[in-house]
Amino acid sequence: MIVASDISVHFGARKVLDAVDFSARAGEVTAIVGPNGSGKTTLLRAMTGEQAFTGEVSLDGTSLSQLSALDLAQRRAVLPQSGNIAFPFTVLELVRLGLTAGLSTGRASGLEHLPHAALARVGLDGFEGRMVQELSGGERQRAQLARVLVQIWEPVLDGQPRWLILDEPVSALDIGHQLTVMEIARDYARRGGGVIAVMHDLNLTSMFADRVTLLSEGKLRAEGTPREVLTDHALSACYGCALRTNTPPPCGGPWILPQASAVTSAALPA
Amino acid sequence: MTIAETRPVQNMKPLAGDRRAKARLLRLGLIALLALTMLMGLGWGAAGDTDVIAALLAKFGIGEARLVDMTVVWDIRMPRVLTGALVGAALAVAGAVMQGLFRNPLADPGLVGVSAGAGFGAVAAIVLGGLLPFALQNLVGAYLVPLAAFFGGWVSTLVLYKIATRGGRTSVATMLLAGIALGALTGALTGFIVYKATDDQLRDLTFWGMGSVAGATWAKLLTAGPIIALALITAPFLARALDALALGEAVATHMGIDTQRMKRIAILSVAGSVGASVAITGGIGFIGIVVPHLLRLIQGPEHRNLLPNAALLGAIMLLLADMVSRLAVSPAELPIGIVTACLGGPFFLWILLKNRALLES
Repeated sequence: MIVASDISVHFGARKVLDAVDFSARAGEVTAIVGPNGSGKTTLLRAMTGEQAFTGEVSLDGTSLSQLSALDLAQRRAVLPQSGNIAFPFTVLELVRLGLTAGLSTGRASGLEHLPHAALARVGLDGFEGRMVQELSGGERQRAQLARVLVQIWEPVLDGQPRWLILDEPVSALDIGHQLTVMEIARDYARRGGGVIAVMHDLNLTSMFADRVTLLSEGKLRAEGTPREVLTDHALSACYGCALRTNTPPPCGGPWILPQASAVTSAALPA
Repeated sequence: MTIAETRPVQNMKPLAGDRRAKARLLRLGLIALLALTMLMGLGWGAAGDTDVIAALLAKFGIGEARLVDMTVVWDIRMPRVLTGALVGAALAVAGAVMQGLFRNPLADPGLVGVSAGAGFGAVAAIVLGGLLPFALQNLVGAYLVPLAAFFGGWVSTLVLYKIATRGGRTSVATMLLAGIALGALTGALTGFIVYKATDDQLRDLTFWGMGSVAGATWAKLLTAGPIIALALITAPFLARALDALALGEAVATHMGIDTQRMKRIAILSVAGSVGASVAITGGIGFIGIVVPHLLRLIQGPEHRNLLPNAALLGAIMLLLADMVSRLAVSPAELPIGIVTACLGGPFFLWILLKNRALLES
């Protein structure tokens, strides 16, 4: 279980996160949603140690500050939003970097096949020899996901859950690969791991998340199941626009439909 | 999905995207080429026909060699060839480590003021060394100049890194400009010390500043050699961390790398290689940028193979440059720095033009 309590972050005089509490359980996909600038990524970065904060973050009962980078790397992997790569790696070389922590602890021996398995999992089999620089944005995002999966391939290790932390994992992907990636996340959780994902797409969140944390203006607005959190009222208030939720028969979660304002809908053909 | 289910059928042909086999093959080729270059370096000179092989074997009690051959090979050319190889290896590895550390293929110790800082240390040691307490002078002895050069290089690398890197990102423009400024500043300080030097010290400085491997002696090699060797031995331990760092400092941390520790070690390793090299041969530019760049093109950027191959190719390149410097204006000698700059300058411009995007980021 990852527990973050009373997290505050200041950028200069501006308060980006204001005493936010957050928790995520192994075996579940926990989504963090909210409008641009609501502090989603900042909260994630506080939990991964990239962002200075006040408050306390613990991983399965141990304070984050007491774990070394190597300990942490074996228990959780982080997919960043984007990032440039300094040198011309092939896709295989990039994904193989996921074995770094395992090599340092001797756990990676005999796992040379994992990069291929992970590439197949994200739909990039056959891409091994391509240069990372020449991939499209979506392909690069999936290659990075494959690297992250290689790092913590088994969702449970020595009886302890491992954590997949994803910052906008589907932002650059087409609709088919959005589903692929979200299914990977859900599958990881079903097999005992934990997943935390910052999400923009509310419908995917509703479809794949077990728990949702809604932020706006750096404050925690709601926390619970998608059905509890993704409501007309809460979403419209947080996102500052008219939103209607609807629950279609095939899957249980609510669907969120943006409502065009009166002016623009009048301009549209009937 | 379990590991067993995803294990692929073992495949005999090399896997696409895996350039490790190529790098290992290249290493064998480079080892052979280095041996050949060193032999050529030993055989090449003004002393007429020299039976290098006989002289080499005779040292180990196999067969006999003429006394003149023994002297030429073992007392004159051997220290020169070994110094050239060691310095070439040191500069190429320092370049590769520095580029990995700055996450930037344009970082080179000669370009960004590290060599200038090391040079300042060396000059300061030659001129001001006599002012040190006598006990300390005895303690460090002949190591004073390389140690001071190491220290100068270390301080410049540290300052440069602090200036050019913010939040794990290095701005190329800031790095190159800060390097120019640092180089100018240390150059001015060096000039000031030279101005204050006595006539005897000026003589020492002139010999040092000629910047070539021609002045190599066993004594000099023994003072700088251990520092370079230590730096070269340390470098491969950084390989995994440097690979991870290519994805950014935060990502490297998430992958389990203690980035603060590895940066400290990398900076010490660069300073050791560059400082000790500058102390015995003066500033030799561009080896550190040309060699790693060529290797990345052929075998990819993985440092586990890049660093050892860079050491080999760096040694070969410096030995070849030394031969050119002996041939170009024979029987006189061109300072080797001129040769490497003539070859490396255009090469650097070529990389620059190819990687314009890097500068504009």
